[in-house]
Amino acid sequence: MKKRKMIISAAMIVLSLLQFSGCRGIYGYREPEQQYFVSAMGFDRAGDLIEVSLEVIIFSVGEAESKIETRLFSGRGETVREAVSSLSGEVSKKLLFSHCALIVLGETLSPGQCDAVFSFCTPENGINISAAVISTPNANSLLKAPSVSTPVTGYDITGVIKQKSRDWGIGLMNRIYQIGDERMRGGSCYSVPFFVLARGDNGEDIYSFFGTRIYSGDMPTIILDLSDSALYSLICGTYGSGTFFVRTDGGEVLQPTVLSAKTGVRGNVEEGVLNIKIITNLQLDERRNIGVDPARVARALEDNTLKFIEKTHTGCGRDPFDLRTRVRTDAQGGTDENTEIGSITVEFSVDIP
Amino acid sequence: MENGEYKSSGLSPHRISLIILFILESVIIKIGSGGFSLITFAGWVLVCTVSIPVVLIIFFFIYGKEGIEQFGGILPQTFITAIYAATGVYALFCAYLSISGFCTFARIIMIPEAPAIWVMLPFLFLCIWLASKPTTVLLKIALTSLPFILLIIAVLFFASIPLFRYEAIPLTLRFEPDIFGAWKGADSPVFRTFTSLPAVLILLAEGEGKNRTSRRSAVKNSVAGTLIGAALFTLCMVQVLLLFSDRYIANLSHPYLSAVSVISADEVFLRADGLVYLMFFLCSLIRGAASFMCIARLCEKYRGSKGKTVPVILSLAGAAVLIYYLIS
Repeated sequence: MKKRKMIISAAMIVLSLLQFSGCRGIYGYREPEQQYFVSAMGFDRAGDLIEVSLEVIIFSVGEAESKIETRLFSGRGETVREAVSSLSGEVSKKLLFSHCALIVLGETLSPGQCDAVFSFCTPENGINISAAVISTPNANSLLKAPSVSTPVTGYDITGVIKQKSRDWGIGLMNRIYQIGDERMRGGSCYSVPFFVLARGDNGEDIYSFFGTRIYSGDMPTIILDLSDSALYSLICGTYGSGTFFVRTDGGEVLQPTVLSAKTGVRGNVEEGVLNIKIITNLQLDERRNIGVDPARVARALEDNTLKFIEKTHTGCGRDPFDLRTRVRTDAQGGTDENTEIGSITVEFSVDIP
Repeated sequence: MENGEYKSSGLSPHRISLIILFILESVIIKIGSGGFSLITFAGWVLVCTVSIPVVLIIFFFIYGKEGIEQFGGILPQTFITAIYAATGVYALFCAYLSISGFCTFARIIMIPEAPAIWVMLPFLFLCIWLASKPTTVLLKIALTSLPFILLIIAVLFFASIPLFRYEAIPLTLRFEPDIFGAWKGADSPVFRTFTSLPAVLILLAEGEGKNRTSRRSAVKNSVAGTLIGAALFTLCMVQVLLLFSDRYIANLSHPYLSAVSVISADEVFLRADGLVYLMFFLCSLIRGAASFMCIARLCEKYRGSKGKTVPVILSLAGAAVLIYYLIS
C-alpha cells in the first residue's frame, strides 16, 4: 500500500514537472532547426503597400556560433499581417517572433502604416515588447548589409545602440512598449536611433549609428547627430552618463564627461500662455575634466540648447520635448495639450565634485 | 492539525498562505487587463473586506460542526440538499476558472501549439490528486510555495526599478469614469477575487466553526491573509503602473507578464517569463485543488462518510471542467 502511494506520488511529481518542460505537445513538437527565429523586422513603403523584411536565423545542429547563418525574406501586403502571410510561399518553416530584438522603420512609411506596425508589434503576436525600434532610409537595405561583430544583423545593431548610447550618455526611449506608451498617452513626439549605410573600403555597405530621428505624429521629422541627440536627451531628462561635444561661440569644442544629469521643467501660465524654464544640473567627472571651466561649459550648453530648441520646434512643429506634460506649474494655473507655449529659457549648472 | 481540524486559536501561517495564494492567483495574471486604476483597487479591497466576514458567517452557519443539519427538523431535506448542491456547483465554477485560466495562459504564452487537452489533462489530474489528499497536504504545499512566490515578486519588482517612469504617475492616477469598465467581465480583478475567495473560506470554515475562539481565529486568518495578499497585489500593481501607462495596460492581455518581459539583461534570452509561469502554476494548482477539495468535503459532510462517493464525484467534477473547457 505504501509502495503504491509512493509510485503515485512520484508519477504526480513527474506530471507537474512536465508542465514546466515547455515541450510543445505530441503534435506540435519542433526542434530549433525546424523553425525560423526572427531576429529583426523591417518595414518599408511599397506604393500603397507595406513591405516587410524579416531577418531569420538558420540553426544547424551542432554548429558553432560562427556558423550561424541568417536569411532575409520580404513580402508585401496591405497590412503587416498580410505581408507576413505572403512570405509563406517562400518560407518553409514556422516563423517565431519571440526572439525578435529589432524593429526597423523605413522613413518612407506613412503615419497610417507606422500605426499598423505598432499595432502588429504586441505580445499577442508573440513579439517581445522590449525589442528596440530604429529608423533608417530603407529598412530592407539596412537588414541586407552584412553584420559587423556578430553573425546576426538584428542583434548586432542592438549592441551598437547600447554601446553608442553608453559612450555618449544618450538615454533612448526606443523600446516598443516605450514608444507604444508614448503614442497612447497622446505624446506628440518620440525619438528613435537613426542608422545610415555607408560604402566600406571593400565596396560593401556598412551601417552606422548616425544619431536620432524624431517622429512627430508618426511622421519622420528632423534627424539629430550624436551631439544634438545628447542635447535632446538632456532636455528630455533621459541623459545618463557619458561624453559629448559642445561648441562655444568662439568655435572651440568642449568635451565634458558627465557623471550624472538632472533636469527639471518649471513653468508659469500667464494669460493662457505657458512660459517654461528648463533647469539642468550636470555633475562632471573630476578625473576626465581636468582644466575644464564649469562656467564655460554651462554657458556653451545654454547657448547651444536655446538654438537647438528653436531648430527642433521649427522642424517638428509640435512639442518634441513633451514640455506641456512634464512642466510643474506654479499655482496660477495648469496646462493641457492646447496650452500655447510662450518663452522657453534654459539654465545649466555644472559642478565638478 | 489533521484533516482540517484546527487546534490553535491564534494565527495559522498555513491558512494565511492559502488565502494569499488565492488572492494572487485571482489578480496577478489579469492585473490591470482591460484598464485598472486606484479606484478599481480601492473597490477590490472594499469587496474583499466586506465579503470576508459575511461569507465566513454564512459558511460557519451552514458548514460548521453542527452545520445546517441542526435545523434538520425545521428545514426540509430538499432545501438542505439544494444548499449543498449550490455550494458544490459554485466550487466547481471556481475550479473551472482557475484551471481554464492556467491552461489558456500556458497555451498562449508557453506552449502555443499544444492541443488544449494535452495541457489540461496533466494539470487536472494534479488538482484532483491533491484534492483527494487530507487538507493538511494542501495547506503544507501552500505554506511551502509562498516563500518562493514572495521571492519572485520581490526580485521582479526590484529588477524593474531602473525601468520605472516616475513622471508617468500623475497621468496614471488620473480619474477617468471609463475605468469602471474594469469592474465588469470575467477577467476583471474584482470579479475574479469575489468569485474565488469564498471557496477558500469553505476550507477555513470547515472544522473551525466549533466554538467562538476558533471562529474568531478563522476571521483573524482571513483578514491577515487578505491584507498580506492585498499588499503583494499592490506591489505588483505598482510595478505594472510604473512601467506602462493605464491606456497601454488596457491593451495588454497579460499586463504583469508583459511588465516582467521587459526586464532583460540581454536583448533576447534572459527574460523572466518563466518565473511568472511558475508563480501562476503554483497559485492555480492550489486554487484548483482547493476548489475540488471543497466539493469533496461537501460530499463527505452530506453523505456522512468517505466511501467511494468522493473519488467518483471528483472524477465527474474533473470531467465536467475538461468537457466545458474543450467545448468553450
